[in-house]
Amino acid sequence: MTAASDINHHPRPPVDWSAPEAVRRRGKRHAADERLRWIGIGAISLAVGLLAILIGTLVAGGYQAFVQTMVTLEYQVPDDIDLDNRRSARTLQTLIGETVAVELGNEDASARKLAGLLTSDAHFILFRHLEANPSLVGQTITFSVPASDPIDQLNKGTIQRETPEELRRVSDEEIAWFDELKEAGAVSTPFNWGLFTNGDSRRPELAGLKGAIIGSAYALLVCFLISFTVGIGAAVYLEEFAPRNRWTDLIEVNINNLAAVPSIVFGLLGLAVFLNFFGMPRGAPLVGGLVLSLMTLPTMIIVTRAALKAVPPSIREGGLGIGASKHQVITDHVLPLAMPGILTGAIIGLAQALGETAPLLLIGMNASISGNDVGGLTTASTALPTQIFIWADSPERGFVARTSAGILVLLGFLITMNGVAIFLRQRLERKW
Amino acid sequence: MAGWTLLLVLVLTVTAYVVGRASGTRFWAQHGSDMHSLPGYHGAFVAAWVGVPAFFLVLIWIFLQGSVIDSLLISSLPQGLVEGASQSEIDLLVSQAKNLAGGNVFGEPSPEVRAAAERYANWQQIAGWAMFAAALALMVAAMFFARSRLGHRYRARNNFELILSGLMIGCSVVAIATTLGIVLSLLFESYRFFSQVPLMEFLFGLSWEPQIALREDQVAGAGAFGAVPVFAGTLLVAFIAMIVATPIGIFTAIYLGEFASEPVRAVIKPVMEILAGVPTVVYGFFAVLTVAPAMRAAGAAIGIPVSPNSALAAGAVMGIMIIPFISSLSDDALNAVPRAMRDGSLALGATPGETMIKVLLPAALPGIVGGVLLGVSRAIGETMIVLMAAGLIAKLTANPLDSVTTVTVQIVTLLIGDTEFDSPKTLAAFALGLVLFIATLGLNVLALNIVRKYREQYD
Amino acid sequence: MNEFSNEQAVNSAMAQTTPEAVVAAAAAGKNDNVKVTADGVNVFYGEKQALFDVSLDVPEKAVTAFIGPSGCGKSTFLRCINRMNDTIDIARFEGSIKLDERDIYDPSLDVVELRARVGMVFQKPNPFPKSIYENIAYGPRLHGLARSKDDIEEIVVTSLKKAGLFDEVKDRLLEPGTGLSGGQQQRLCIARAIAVSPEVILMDEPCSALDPIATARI
Repeated sequence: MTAASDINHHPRPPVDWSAPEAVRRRGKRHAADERLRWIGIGAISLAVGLLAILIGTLVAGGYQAFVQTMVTLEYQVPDDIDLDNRRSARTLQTLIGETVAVELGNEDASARKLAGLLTSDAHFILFRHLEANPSLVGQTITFSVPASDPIDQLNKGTIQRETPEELRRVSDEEIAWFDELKEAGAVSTPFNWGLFTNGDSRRPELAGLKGAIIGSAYALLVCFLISFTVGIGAAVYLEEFAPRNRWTDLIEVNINNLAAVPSIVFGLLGLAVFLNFFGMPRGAPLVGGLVLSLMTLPTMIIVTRAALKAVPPSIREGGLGIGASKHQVITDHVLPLAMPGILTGAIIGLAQALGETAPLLLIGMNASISGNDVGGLTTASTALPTQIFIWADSPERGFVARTSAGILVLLGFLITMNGVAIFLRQRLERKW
Repeated sequence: MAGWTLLLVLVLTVTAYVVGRASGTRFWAQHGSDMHSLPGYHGAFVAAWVGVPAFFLVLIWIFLQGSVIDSLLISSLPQGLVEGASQSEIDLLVSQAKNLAGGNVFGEPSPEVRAAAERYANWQQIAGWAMFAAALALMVAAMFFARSRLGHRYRARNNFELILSGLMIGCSVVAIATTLGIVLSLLFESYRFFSQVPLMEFLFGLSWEPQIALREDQVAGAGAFGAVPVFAGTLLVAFIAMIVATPIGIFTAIYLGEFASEPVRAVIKPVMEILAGVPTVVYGFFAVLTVAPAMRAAGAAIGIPVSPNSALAAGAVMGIMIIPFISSLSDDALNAVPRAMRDGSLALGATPGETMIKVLLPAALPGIVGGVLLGVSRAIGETMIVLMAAGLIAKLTANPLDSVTTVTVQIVTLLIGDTEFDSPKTLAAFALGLVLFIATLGLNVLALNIVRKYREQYD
Repeated sequence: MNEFSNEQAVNSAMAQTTPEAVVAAAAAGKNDNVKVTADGVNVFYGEKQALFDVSLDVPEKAVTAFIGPSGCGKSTFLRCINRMNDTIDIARFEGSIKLDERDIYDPSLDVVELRARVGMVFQKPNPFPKSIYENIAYGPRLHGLARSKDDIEEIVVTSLKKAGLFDEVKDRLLEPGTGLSGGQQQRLCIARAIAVSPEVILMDEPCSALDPIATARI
């Protein structure tokens, strides 16, 4: 070992920390720090700003779809209408045209053109109303019907009056009629309940999310039932019972990899196995739920294992110590304590499943199905995200607003679910 | 019918529990504490024997019923129709019969189809009742069997727990079964594809035109299945996405780790979680509605033509989606660096920024790189954003303002609509899916290895 | 050569720093310059008070040891001197500490400069995951203490020699610092602290994480 004296024969000159050079250098270093800080702020602002723009455009585009322009008129229902024959609905078409003409005091105008101010399915709507209330035949009734999509857009200002007539979807004539109706007090814009109570339709003014919401609900139900039970079963086994050997390692690696597989591959799996091999019905929420449950399963297992790990060993030891079996300790003590964490994870997993679109498209939940009939677990339907996708593809202007509105509804569900999960976490979380 | 059968299973399982427990209570009355298990476990034991096998029977029956009846139907069709008909024609006949049986009449069905429809409806009925009867018989037999085993010394609880453990192991196996299912189905369909289209052409061909009309005499090679432009498009979009996401994500993590105060952190973390939770279909719509037109307008303003389906628009929005991913993984990586390292650097007179850049970031680099790789894996596998915002025509280009298509878009477009499982068009989707699966798996494994290998440095 | 001659050196050094020696030095060294002065120092961690009205002088060119029961605030006081407590959100400092007559919280005194002039070796060795060379070169590079690569190399070698580590690692300067044994790592940290030519070195129980042999070497 070198003697201490050796080293001090070549002492370094003492550092002058107050030399102007040193001061300048420190100044530069602090300036670099500030720059880094500002870059960080910039990055965050960019991310937050983009989120704000996203939400902003959605709200701006979508809020109008939450109200619908309706036209309310007094109709004289003819006595001779045959409610058992669907075809007689057509006779109502002329009735509607004439009623509008009467309202406008304009007997000469074409009844067809006047009826065009209202949705083209107006006669069906009126017919269904009469089917449900046969006593109204022969009476004079006040009835509201949605306006047609161009008129709806006109009323909401999306179609501007200043544009030259050739470029507009509504003619000057139609604008004049509409203004007259408005002055007569026949036009209103109430909340668009139809968005939630109607099924899909080719016409934007009639299109609603009912089928999609129910399809998603069924699919999520199936997903929850399967992934919750199988997920907890697998997690409990892997965490509490399984010996640490090659097989359990393999299963663990497997689960972690599955969690990272792109969702579309699960769609391919569903197509090849459930639809093709097992011959299950195409586009059924049952199949959608099965595919979603396979996707949610790895997440459920991982979350449940984490929740089980968080329960301190002392709980288990206490139970075993008084002679309970391992199963009993888990069912009676560990699982109830881990349940808040498991539930929170399950809700978050379901929220993720709700937003999944690609796999559902591949198994057929992508057909635009018109009509208000509600399907079941095994009839083809759409789901909320796939319905949004279908609407996004549609060319009518009214669908743009509706797509945004549909997205807002979807986001509403997601926010609620995540909020419940966070609430549960706060209330039920135990700190060991 | 399935619903009723399941209800039957439920009812009988509960009954079995009650019966078993009654036995247990009787033993208790006679033998007292000599008993091994509580009466409840006797009940549970019998209930498990009754419910579990029957449940699985119903499940398997539901799964297989469809294909069994389908093959019966096909083999029952008159020779004349089936002889020489292609698979798609036979499928058409089958679906006509099914529709007819379901009450949907399209046009004028031929008498053979009517007969087939009648048979189909009959078989459905028979199958339904058969399932019900089989389940009932199984459960009754199980009930007798299980009850006969009961005794006051019987280790009911142990045996019940054995059944429970078996079920749990089964649940664990489902995960493996899923992976096996994915791999097998992808391999199987891809194999069928590659027996029609040569592997080399697929991997290295430069022309992708899979939309071929179906005729019997169509040779598969007449459609072009060279996937290189599709791969290139995928990589281009993913590249753009990572250029957007990586700097924003890492610098956000740096700021949160070193410069942000508590209130700021409390606001930013939820914002990041919101960004991560937005469904991709929403991002896709945003790209189509706002971003792509904006880029087009910007391009027009400075005189550069921008395609309405530009890779730039799709990639940029995809990048936004990936930001929270990179940010949270980088944040985790930075937090995993021991505090002592930070203190050591500060104690030497380094500023917080210098500490971050020269000590913490290099130390966290494996974790960050792993996170970036996982981000790339996500970008490659993402579907909805590119489906809505990117193009459908495969184009080999490096220009981000051009329209390109990606692997995921092609998979969806090839499979939407009626799928005949014979055409190379449909099978090509599975071949693409196989490539996608291998690529993402490879990236994930690589990411994991990098993190694991370099983390040992300072543990 | 090694343990015994080390022991002698250590014993002689320690002999100079018995409490009596310190007091004597402090008394005699009223002529010697006082390097660090603490006056009425109170430190709070949130609600809890850790230091109560501490006032003392630390002379320069001497070893001053703080001895006391665990939890009495020795580490806390050390961390005050180089303002490392600033990095703890809930720590609050009252009173004054002066380095060479200058208050360490004086806005004109850059904390970066302070920490270079007052070095620190921690309880548990904390080398950076860099090479041994880079670990030591880190500080001088930051503060611009070397003009050329040769300068840096000289600083590295000198610091390693002063810490008594050079002989053991001279052939593997580019290997990671984390690959050394515990005792070697701590000496590396000492060399690292020495490399910026501090006027004061704070050592917070530097041997408490080491075995007796490594302790003796330190």
